[in-house]
Amino acid sequence: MKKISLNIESNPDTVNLADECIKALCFLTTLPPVEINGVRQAVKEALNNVIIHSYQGQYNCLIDLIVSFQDDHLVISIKDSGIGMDPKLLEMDRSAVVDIDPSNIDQIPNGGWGLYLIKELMDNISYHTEAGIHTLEMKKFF
Amino acid sequence: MLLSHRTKEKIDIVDLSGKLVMGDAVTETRKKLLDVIKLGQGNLILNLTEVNFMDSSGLSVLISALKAARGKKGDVVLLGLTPSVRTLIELTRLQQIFNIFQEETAAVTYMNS
Repeated sequence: MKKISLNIESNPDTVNLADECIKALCFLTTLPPVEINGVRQAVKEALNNVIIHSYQGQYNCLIDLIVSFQDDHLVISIKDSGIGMDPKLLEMDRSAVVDIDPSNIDQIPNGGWGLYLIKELMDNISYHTEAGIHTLEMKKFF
Repeated sequence: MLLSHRTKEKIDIVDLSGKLVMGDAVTETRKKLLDVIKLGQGNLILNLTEVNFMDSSGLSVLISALKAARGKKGDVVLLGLTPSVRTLIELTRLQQIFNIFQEETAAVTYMNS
């Protein structure tokens, strides 16, 4: 198993650099371009959520981004030590966020798509907390 | 994120290029688009042909612009979606509220109709 760990700061510029790393790593797999973009999207949304929610907008906290290559899938883990997320949020049906009434655009939210997108774009997701470290693990099969 | 503004037949057109993602790109783009809508007729073509990646923060910019334009009885249409942006728009079902064009002339004709 090949594995790489990136230790990044919780700021948007660093997250954008991490996105470039994820893109390059995905090109080592047999994932087609559209799926690679999906993985990038999911990782980006997950990292954004860590910055906005777990670290509450603080830009100098640490995030571990770990990518491991299995025989037929990628495992991407994101670890932070912020306030974390209620794991029940992952179990909830997030489809309401895209249940749009086109005749009433004022009711369309200006955000909240992150978890929905992660669930749509990745094949398996789990979240757990151990010794104050929160880990979101996402799998994508080739 | 690069942004340029032009007008065609009194329609505002903003050309974006690069990544529209959380951070300065989103903050600056939101401000610029809202300024363009405020100062113009409220009809905006957002050219995304050169936007190769967008996250959900970028989507919030599009929706803010649409709400501002509709507030002036105008509209925002999207032009030239790249595959990754199209996927994002479709996953979030925002094609229900944005008209999407591949050709600028078609977008301008729609805005003038």
